[in-house]
Amino acid sequence: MRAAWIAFAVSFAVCTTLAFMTAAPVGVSAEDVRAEAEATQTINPDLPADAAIQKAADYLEKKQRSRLTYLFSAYLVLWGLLGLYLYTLARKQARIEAELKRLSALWEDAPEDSVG
Amino acid sequence: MTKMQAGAIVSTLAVFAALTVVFMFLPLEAEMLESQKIFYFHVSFAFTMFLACIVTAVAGGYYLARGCELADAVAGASAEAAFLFASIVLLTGMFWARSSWNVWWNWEPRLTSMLALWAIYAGYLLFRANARGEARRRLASVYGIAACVMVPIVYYSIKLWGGLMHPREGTIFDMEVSMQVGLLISFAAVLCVYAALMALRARIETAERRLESLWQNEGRG
Repeated sequence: MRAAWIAFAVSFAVCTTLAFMTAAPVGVSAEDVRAEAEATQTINPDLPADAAIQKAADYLEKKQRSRLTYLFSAYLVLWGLLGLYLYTLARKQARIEAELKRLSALWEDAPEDSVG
Repeated sequence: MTKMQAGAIVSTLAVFAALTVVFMFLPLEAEMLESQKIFYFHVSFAFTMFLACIVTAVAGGYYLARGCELADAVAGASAEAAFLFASIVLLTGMFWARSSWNVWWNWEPRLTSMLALWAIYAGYLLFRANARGEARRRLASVYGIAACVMVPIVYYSIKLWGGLMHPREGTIFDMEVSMQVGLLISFAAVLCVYAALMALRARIETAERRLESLWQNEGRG
């Protein structure tokens, strides 16, 4: 059981680290911002170019943050459920061990001829 | 080193390899971008869940035919894994749907049949939790075999009744090679996790039964 817990903890730590590392290098590209700014100016032609670019960058960054939040939440739920299952298994095993101790104590206390 | 420790190490290494490939090396999908990375584990858990359902039915059938206690323990362990993996598939799918299609849930055939499968295996586990004695265990095995009918229903639901979020046409072989490799590695990792969890659970179940029989002997003594 301890091996399963260690495996779970290590895998979770790796998952979390990699999730954070994924977020860092992926930026919103200049082409995407330009395309989004052009689309914004098509809808709102009076908007100055600088404002349109700023608005597009903010919008794309917000969307990216949202995607990363959902990605991270999905993986968190996955690990949460696996952890919960391991916890129920650990409790079952602990109960079995406790019962075994009780049983062996009963046998030790029993007179020699009544055992077996 | 025990078999359980070896299983835990292999599972950890497999998950480590899969996560590294998925997060560090695979390119972003053009439409869904970062949220598409949920796909690799979502689909891998779904396929492994199908396998777990089939193992439950086969082990249950073997128990019915031969009365092998280990086969019954394996059926129970595999059904628990199927339920756990179905929960993971449903929840990760909801996050993916919210991120990509702006909805948490809709009642398309794949999602509805998947929810039905989840509920059927929840029922199996409840029934099994109270299954004492051989007659009830045999009934649980029959339930496990019948529940396996849900596997083709869930798999073919899109082809039979259509859907909004899951692709109706195309298979894994139609995807980009890099995505295929990512999915294959993730699937292998989830298979290792399934095998390790099932072995651990079956061992606990066998110990529980031995303990039960020891208590019965003690009661008789």
